Amino acid sequence: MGYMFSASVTFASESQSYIEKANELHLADDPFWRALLHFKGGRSLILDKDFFLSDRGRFDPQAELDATIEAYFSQEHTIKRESGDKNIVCIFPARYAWLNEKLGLPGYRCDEEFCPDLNQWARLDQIEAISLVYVSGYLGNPASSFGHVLLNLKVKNNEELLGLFDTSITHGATVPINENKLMYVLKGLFGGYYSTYSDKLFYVHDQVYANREFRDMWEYVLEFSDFEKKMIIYHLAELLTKRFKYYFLSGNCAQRMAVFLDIFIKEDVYNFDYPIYVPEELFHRLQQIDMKRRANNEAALIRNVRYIPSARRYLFYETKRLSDEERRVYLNITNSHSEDFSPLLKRLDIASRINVLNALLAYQYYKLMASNEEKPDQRLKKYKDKILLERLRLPIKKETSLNIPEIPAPTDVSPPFTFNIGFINEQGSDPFSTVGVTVFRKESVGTNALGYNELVAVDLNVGIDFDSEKIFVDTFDFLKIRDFRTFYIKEAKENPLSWRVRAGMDRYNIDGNVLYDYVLDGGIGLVEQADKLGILYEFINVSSHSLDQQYRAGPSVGFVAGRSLLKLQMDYGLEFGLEDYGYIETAQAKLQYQVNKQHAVQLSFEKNTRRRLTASYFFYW
Amino acid sequence: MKRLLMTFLFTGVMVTSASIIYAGETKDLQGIYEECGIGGLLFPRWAAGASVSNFIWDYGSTASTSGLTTPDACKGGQAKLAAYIYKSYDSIEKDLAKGDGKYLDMLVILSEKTPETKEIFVQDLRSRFREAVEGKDYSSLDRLERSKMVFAMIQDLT
Repeated sequence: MGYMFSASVTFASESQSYIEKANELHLADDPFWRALLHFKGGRSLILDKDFFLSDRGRFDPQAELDATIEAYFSQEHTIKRESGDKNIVCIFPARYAWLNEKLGLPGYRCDEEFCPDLNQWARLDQIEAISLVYVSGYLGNPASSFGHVLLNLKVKNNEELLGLFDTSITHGATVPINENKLMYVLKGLFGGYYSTYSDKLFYVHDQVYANREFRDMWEYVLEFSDFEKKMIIYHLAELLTKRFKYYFLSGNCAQRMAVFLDIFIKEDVYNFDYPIYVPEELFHRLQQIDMKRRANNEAALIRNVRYIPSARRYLFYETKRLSDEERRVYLNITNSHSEDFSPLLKRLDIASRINVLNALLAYQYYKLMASNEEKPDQRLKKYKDKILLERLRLPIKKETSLNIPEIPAPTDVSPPFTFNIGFINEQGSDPFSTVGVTVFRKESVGTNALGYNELVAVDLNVGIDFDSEKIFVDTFDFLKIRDFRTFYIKEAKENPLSWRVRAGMDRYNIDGNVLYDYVLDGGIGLVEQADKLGILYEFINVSSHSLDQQYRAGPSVGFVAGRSLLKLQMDYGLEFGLEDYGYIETAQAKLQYQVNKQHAVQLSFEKNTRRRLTASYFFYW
Repeated sequence: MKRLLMTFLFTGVMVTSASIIYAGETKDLQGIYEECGIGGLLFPRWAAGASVSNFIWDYGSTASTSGLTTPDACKGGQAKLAAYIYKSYDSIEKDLAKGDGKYLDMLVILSEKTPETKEIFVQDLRSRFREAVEGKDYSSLDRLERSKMVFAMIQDLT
């Protein structure tokens, strides 16, 4: 008893001296310490009590620092772990590694012997780099339109395996199974969920994103010092499963990854509370930092960028490289759905048979992947097994790698946030100027990783009439999407229909009488790609308006032509009022010249109930 | 006819032997596929809290967060191999049919084969796999059963 008492006195006095030393160094106010605790506005954003060693830790970085030092010396703490490493150093490895750097903690160790579980997870001797993966968005699901971000801990000598066994960290909302989708949207938007960092091996993400959802990915390998790498890995270990409040538009995967990287990158990665933050913005910011460093002859931030094509692209180019004869047989088999395809194959030599069967297999897996994972179509599965067996009966053939053309990476195109100024000449009213801001702008006429597709979200234009000194809302688009289906697998009889939707508001000045028209507009159509010249399309549209005619429908045709820097888009259509069947002609033309990724000028003409000519300058930010 | 009979006989032996292999490995496989739970196998095995279901931000996939409550049976190479086969089964199956591909390469590494023994291992595995697919039951097996079968084949070849 006497020994225990004297031991605790020793611990107390020893910890006190280190607390005093930490106070002299003002460590509690050190931005790095506050960042490790995820402090913002006087409190930590982490909601779990077991992330803090002091009862006041969530609100008081000094108390948490004192408690952290005390726990090191006393080894007494209330953090519960049902299994795994029990030592406090292994539970908060980043905190103690940093404190050890600053204070030289006596007897500090965090090695394999001391923290076996942590070290087994961290794989410090195997991790050679940290990377950030951009998972492309897809327009089929609004929640996935803006893409996703993963942070990978890259294992050495894993390149040829495309990093399948890299540890891959994601940040996402914790949502009950079978959550109602409307509730998901509402709770996601207004903070009804918690979110956490979680870890998987990268092959799990590769299966989901590249093979099941057919989304392309780009991996940005980042340069960090060995100490930074270790701190990143250690801090991730501290953070896993810790709960944050989740907001779909701002406290999302991209924002949390940006804030996380901000701790370890000396430049500001995330220095402003953006009301909306999307993954592309993070990648553009990293590229800006990288370019600035390179310009200053400093060590680069981005080592390289790797493109990871989706299974759909693999299939597309796998079938494209077939010879004419092989392709004919391949299409015969896929179109006939014949159970007995052997006679068709037998016309080919062994090498060609293998090529066709490889393509058929890729096609069958593609179809199965696109179907329900839990309840796969049994007929499809059996048919695939027949092709599988046919291929297994033929010898192994090493394939030459597929030559898949790269599509622009997120940092090869304009950033999504824009400011614009413009000048409008409208028939029947005085010319006026506009100032606009768009949270996410990917127009068909801009440089755009979505190809010719268009996705514009929260686009507000304010008109300024200097003569009458009036300021007014000119247009507002909450959401505008045009999904042109130019890349799909024809033999899979995929739905070729393109679609478009717009929810927004327009201002009309009719004989000096200003009116606002609230519009919900949508359509379906077909699109044809004219090689690299552009696209042609035709749509059938329906729309609802707050002004007469309230319900309208009609056809439209159009095209987008041009290369990345100069593009022209023209639309012409008829709108029939569903009340009196009168109609108006609608026409729109846009010509955009992209000076570079950040600057563009645009001329547009619009004719419907109003006629206006607009000249605009866009700054992409 | 004789060939057909031989095929059925061989397939029967194969399936039976796979079951025997599986029975011999019962403790591991039970531990790996059932005690650990498939969801629990997919993580690199670190720290903290209760398992929860989790939609990632963009609604992409359902997952569990990593769990500290990891029995020893769920750690190590066998668990990694088991999880990998289950989760990547379609890609492995496709690569195995061709005898080539990154998912097959990863399977070879997880099966602790050296570059020198890789070729013969792939040939043997492919050959056994072909025999299993020739069996009339293969199409009726679900993903978990197929995964267990491939896992057992690898165990047998190791």
